[in-house]
Amino acid sequence: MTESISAAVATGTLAEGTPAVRVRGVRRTFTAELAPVRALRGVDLEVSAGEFVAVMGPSGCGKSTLLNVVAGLDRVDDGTVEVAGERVDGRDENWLAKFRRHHIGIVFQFFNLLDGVSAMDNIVLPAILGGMRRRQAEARARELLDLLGLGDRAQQVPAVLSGGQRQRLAIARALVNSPTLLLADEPTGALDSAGGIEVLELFRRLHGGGQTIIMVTHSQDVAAGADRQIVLHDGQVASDTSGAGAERRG
Amino acid sequence: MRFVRAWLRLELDRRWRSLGVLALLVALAGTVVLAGVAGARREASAISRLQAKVKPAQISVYTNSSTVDWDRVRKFPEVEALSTFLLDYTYSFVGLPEDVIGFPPTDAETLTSIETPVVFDGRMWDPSRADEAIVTPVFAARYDKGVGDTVVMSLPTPQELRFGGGSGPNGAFTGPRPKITIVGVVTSAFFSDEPGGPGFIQVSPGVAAKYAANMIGPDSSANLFNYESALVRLRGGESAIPAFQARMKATFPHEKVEINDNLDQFREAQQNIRFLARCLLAFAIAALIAALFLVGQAVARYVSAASAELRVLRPTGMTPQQSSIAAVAGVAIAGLAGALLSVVGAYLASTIFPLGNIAIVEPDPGRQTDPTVFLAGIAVIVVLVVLGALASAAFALRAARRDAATRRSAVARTAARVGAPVPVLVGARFALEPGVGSSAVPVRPALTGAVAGVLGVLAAFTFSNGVSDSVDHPERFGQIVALEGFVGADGEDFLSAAKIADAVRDLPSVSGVNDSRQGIATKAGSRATVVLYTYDTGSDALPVVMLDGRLPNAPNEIALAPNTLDQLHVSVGDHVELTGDTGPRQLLVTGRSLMPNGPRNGYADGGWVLPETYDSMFRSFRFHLVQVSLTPSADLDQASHAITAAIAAKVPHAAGYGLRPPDRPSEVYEMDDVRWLPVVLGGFLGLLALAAVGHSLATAVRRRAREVAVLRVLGMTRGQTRGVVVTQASLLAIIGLLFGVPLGLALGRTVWRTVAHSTPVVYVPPTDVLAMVLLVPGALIAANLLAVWPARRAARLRVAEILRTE
Repeated sequence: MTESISAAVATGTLAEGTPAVRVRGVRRTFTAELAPVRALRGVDLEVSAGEFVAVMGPSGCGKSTLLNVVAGLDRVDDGTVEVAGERVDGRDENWLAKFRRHHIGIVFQFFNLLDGVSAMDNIVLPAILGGMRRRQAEARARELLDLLGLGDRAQQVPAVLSGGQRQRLAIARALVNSPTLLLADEPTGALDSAGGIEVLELFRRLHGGGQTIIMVTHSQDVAAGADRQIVLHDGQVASDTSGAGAERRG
Repeated sequence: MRFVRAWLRLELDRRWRSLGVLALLVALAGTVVLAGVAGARREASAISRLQAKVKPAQISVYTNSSTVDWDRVRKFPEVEALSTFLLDYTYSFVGLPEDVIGFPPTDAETLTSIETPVVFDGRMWDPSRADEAIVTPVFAARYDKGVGDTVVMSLPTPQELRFGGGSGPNGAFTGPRPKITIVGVVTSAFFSDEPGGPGFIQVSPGVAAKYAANMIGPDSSANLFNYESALVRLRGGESAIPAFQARMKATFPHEKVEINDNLDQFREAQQNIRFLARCLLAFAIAALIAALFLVGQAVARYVSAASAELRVLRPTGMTPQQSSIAAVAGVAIAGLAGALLSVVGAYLASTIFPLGNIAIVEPDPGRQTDPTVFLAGIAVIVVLVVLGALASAAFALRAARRDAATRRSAVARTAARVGAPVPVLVGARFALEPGVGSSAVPVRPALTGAVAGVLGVLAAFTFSNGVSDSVDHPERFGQIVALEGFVGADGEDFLSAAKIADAVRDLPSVSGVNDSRQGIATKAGSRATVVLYTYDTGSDALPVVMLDGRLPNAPNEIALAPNTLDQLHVSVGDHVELTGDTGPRQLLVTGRSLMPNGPRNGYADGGWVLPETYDSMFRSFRFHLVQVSLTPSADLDQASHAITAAIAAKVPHAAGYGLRPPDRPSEVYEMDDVRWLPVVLGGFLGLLALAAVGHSLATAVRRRAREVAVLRVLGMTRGQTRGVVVTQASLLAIIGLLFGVPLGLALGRTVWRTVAHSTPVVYVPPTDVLAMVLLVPGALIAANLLAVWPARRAARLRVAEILRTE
C-alpha cells in the first residue's frame, strides 16, 4: 500500500541542519550462481546539504549499489537510509517514486534516455511526472537545455547527439524538478576526456549553486573535482577525505 | 493523468503505424466475431420477426370434399380471419415446372387480412384482377422473372379438370391460356419459399373467380379434385384450437377435416434454424478465443516494448501504476479504434445474413444494424484489449522486478551442448528465451500464437470434415431409405404394398424392404403428436439407425426419435401412453432411433412400432408406403430402373410405377449451408496466426538488434544472421505443429461430437487427412516465408550505428 508523503518531502524542501543523506549500517547481498555477493557490508555515511561527494573504489566494491540504495532503486537487507530527513528503506515503490520526483535526480553512465523521443520530451516527461503542467514543463526544459548548451538540439533524438551532449541531456533531465540530491553513477565513464571535463565543469557549477551531489567514479581526476572523496572497498567505507586537510571519518 | 496524456501523445506521434496495425488486427477479429454473433441473432429471430410482420394464420384446415361451407366457418366465434385457397394441381405455367405452382386463393382475404405479406419489390396483386400474380424471392431469382414480366397459365377444360389430366399432346391441358403479369415479389409465413425449393408463383384471387369452371369445377360431388381449404387466424391464438376443432366436428360431422397447427410447423422450423444460429455462434466464439490468443500476443508484445521503454523513467519518479497506465493507453486507443471499425465491418458483413435457407424467411434482407450486439461489442472489445494490456503490463513489471537472470530454454541449452551451429543456437534462444532488459521480447505469446494458429486451423478443418461427412452420408441423419413409393393414403390403398415389396425384395441392389403404414398418435394431456411407422422385422429389415437401445421386437414396444422423446419427456426404458384411433395404449420405449424424413415428420420425430402394435392402435393409416434401402455399392439410378422393371414384370397392373428418393431432411440443407463456415474460420485463424508469427519475428529482430550486432562484430556472417531468423521461425512452426496438431484434432472432434449429439446426427470421428498432411509443410513454408523480410533486415543491420546508440 502506498504510504503518505509529508508535505515538506513532497515539495522538496529541506529543514535546516538536516543531512541530505544519512546511511547507517547498510548491508546488501545478492544471490548468485556460485556464491552470494555481499555488495554492501555495513556502510555508514552522512552527506550534508550542499556537499559534492565522490564515491570511489574498485569494480565490485559496491559503489553503484550504494547509489541505488540511496535512490530507493534497490532495497537494503539491513540498516537504514535517510534522504532529506525521510527514511527511504522499507518504503513501497509508489512512495519511492513520488519521493524521487522532488528529491532525487539521477545521472547514469549510459544515459538511460528515451531513444525514440526528442531531447525536449526527454526532459518534459519527468517534469510532468513532478507535477508541472505541460507548458510549464516545456519552459523549464527549454531553460535547462539552454543552460546546458543544448538549446539548438531540443527537437533532436538522443541517437544523433554526441556522448557529452547525451550526458548533458541526462543531467538536464535529472535537474528538471530541482531535486534535493543529484546522484551520478560514473557520469563521465562513457565519455571521452573532453566530454568528461565538460560534465565535471557542469557539476561544479551546480555545486556552486548549492546542489548536493553524490558522484560515483573510477577516476581519481574526476573525483578530485569533488570536495569530499569516499573510497569503498569490499562493501565498506575504506576512507573518507574532505578537500586538502583530509578528515578521516571511517 | 497529465503524464499519461503526454506519453500517449508521444506514442501516437511515434508509433501510429504499429498502433494502426494493432487496430486493424482488432478490427479484423472484431468484425468476424460481431458479424457472427449478430448473424446468429438474426438467424435465430428470422421466423419470429416474419411472424410479427405478417399476421400469420395459426391453422390450416384441409378438407377432402367441396361441401364445407366456409362462410359458416367464418362466423365461428373462435375465428378472427379466414381465407380460402384451392389445393389445385391441375393447371400449369408454360415453360415452368409444376413445383412452382402456388395454391390459388379463392377470396380477397388471402395475403390481405391474413398472412399480410412483406413486399420486397413491386406491389401486392389487385384481388379483382384476373391477370396478376406475385412471386417469391427464390422464384424471381431462379427464373429471372420479376415485376413486369409475364407468364402464361395453361388451364384445363372443365372436362379435363373433372378427370385431372390433360387431353392435348403429352397430356397438356387444352383450356384457356391467360397471360399473367408479375406485379410483386413478396413473402409471408405460409406463402413462403421452401428449403431447396424453386420458389412459388401465386395468382390473384381474380384468376380463380374468372376461370372458376376451369379451376374449381362444379360445386358438387362430381368435383373430385379441387377442394377449397382454408387458412385461419383464431381469436385467442393456439389455445382456441380445441374449441375450433370441436365446433368443426359438430358443424360438419361427416366431413374429413384435417387441422394443422401452422405454428407447430414454425416451431419445428425454428428448432432447425437454431442449429445454424448455434453454428454461427460457435463460429463467433471460436473466432473470439482465437483472437484472444493471437491478437492478445500482439498486444502483449506492444505493451512489453512500451513498458521496457517506460522503465527508463522509473528513476525520475514514475510509479508502477503510472507505468502500467501509460503502457496501456496507446493500446486502449487502438482497441477503441479497432472496436469502432469492427462495428462498421460487421454492419457491412450483415448483408450476407441470414445464411442459406433461412434467407427465405428473412423479412428485412440486406444490411442491418444490431445495436445490442454492436454496442456491447464495442464495450467488450475495449475491455478485453485493456484487460489484456494491463495483464501484459503487470507481467512486464513483475519481470522487471525479478533479478536480471534470464530464463534459459532447455532446447537452447541442449543445442549448445551438442555443438549446434551458431545460427541454430542463437535462433533457438531468440525463439524460446525472452532475453533481459530493454531488449527483452516475451516469447510465450509468440509460442502460444503459433500453437493456437495450428490448433485452430486443424480444429476448424476437422470440424468441417465432420459436417461434410454428415451432408454426404444421409445415413448419418438416419436416412437409410434410398427409394420409396406411396401405395395408399387416408386408409385407401391404390396398389398392393405386399406385392410391390415382394417384387423388389430379391433384387441384388436391395438390402432392405419395409411395408410401412403411417398413423398419427397423440399423448393424453399433451399437444404432442407422434407419427408412427410400422417396421417389418426379418432378414431384409431396414437397417434403421439406432442412437441408443434397440428396435421394438414385441407388441407394445416402441422406439422413438430424439425430438419425440424430448417432447414426451420420456427416456429409453420408460413406458409411454399413446392414443391412436382405438384408445390409449401403454408402450415400452426400447430405443432412441432416427426416422425416415416424411410428409408429417422430420428425421428426429416419430417412432417405430411392429405391425401388430400398430394394428392394435389404429384402424386405418394416414399414408401407406414401400421403403427400400440399397446395398452400399448400389448405384441409385440403376437400382431405381431395376425396381421399376421388376414391378412392371411382377405386378403388371402397376407397370410404370416406380420408387423415388425421399426428400432430404431440411437439416441436411442446413448442415450443407454451414459447411463453409469452419473453412472460413480456419482461413481466418490461419491469417491471424500468420500475422502473429510475422509480427513476433519482426519485433524480435528490432528488439534484439544489439545482440545481433554484437554477434556480427564477433564474426557472424550475413548468411548466418539470416539463419538465426529462419531457425527462430522454423522452431515456432515446429512447436506450433507439435502441440497444435493433436490438440486441434481433439478440439475439432470434441466440438463436432457436441454438435452431432445436439443436432442429432450419428457421430463418426472426423479426420481431415489432407489438412493434416498439408499443414506440416504448409506451416514450415509459411513460417520461413514470413522470416524472409525480418531475416533480410537482420542481415543488413547497421552494426556500428546500433552499438553506438544502444
